[in-house]
Amino acid sequence: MKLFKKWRSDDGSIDFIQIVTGLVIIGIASIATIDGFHQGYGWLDYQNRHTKAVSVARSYMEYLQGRIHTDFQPARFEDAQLMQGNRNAPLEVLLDGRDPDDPNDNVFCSVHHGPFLPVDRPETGEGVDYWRIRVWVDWNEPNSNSPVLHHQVFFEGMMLPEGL
Amino acid sequence: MRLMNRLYSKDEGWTFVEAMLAVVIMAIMVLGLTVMLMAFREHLDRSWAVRTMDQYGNDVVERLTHSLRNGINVQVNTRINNYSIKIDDIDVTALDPMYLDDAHAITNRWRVNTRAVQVYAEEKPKKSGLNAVDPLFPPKRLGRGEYFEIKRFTLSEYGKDRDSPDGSIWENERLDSWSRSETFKEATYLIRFVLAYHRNAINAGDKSWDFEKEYNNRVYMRNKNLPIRKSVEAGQDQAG
Repeated sequence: MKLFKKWRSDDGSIDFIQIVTGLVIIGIASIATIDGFHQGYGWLDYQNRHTKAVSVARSYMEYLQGRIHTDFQPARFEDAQLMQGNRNAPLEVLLDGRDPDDPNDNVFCSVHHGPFLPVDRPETGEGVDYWRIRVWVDWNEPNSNSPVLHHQVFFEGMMLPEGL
Repeated sequence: MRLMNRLYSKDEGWTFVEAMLAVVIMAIMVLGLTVMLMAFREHLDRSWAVRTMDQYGNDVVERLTHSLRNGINVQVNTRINNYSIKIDDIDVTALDPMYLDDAHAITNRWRVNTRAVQVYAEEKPKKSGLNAVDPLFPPKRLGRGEYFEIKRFTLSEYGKDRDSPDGSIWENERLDSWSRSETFKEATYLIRFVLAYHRNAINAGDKSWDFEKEYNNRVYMRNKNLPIRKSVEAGQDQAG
């Protein structure tokens, strides 16, 4: 009853509870907004790395296509190795330099290609008509300590030797 | 009426301590919000500048890649080559898809204006003059102390790049090029486009911020070694 009387006898000023409640509401709203911006920024960053990964995959594919087209003899040791793919010894490429002032926050990706798959279309009677090539680019997003690379870009292409 | 007035009129205003407390709390909140907004604005400006740069860099590299893929030949002349800026003039020859013979060859001239921070692609025979790849770059309403710069626009044959980008797959290119055939090397090109963004300190307490980014791509010019190119050369020989 006393408490009720006290509450009823409010003289119109803001009390401590109201201030704290207001601050809590403002705090929650601010945290949610900042988190939203942070998420959005993270997605933009990810998109940037993904675009770069596509570019790296395509560049690597261009190299392999060029090799098959004009500089490829399956009997040659070097080319026989190339034909097997480099899954066990992928290349490491800088994907995102991130903060220019911090050399330790760079994101690297691993680039490798699978074995060249010969495609022989029986109707041509020419032996191997073209080669199918597959390229993978894998990377981890910043602040990920996982040893497994979680993000991947996959490219598939084909090329025919020049003589054909 | 008097009774009503007595019941509903309140003349207890804030005490001095309450008012002071309210002012201090509000001041802290406003100050905190201002600092946060200023930091956020700075971050947003930098981020926006980098996104703009990314967009432009990728645009230029994509357009040139497309041009080279359709090309049957390319000529590169170094125009600027000093310690900080390296610029090439690039002429890509392609066949008009309507005719596919050398008499109707088209030359795409790629030029850089470092002062205007623009890359131009001009088609000869002239179709519509000197075309900026993206006329909206650099943004017109930059803040004080902000500016963009083209540091590099080069095209190099396989293995002939003057300084390969760090940590890239081109690091061992020079070594690999010793084992490659001439036909491969002459048809495989590396595009490198480097943009820089500078944000100079204007007010006391500001910090300058500079950011440089490279956009690159490798292209294998198929048409240089395809029968289409050879038929053109054969046609030229016959005409000669």
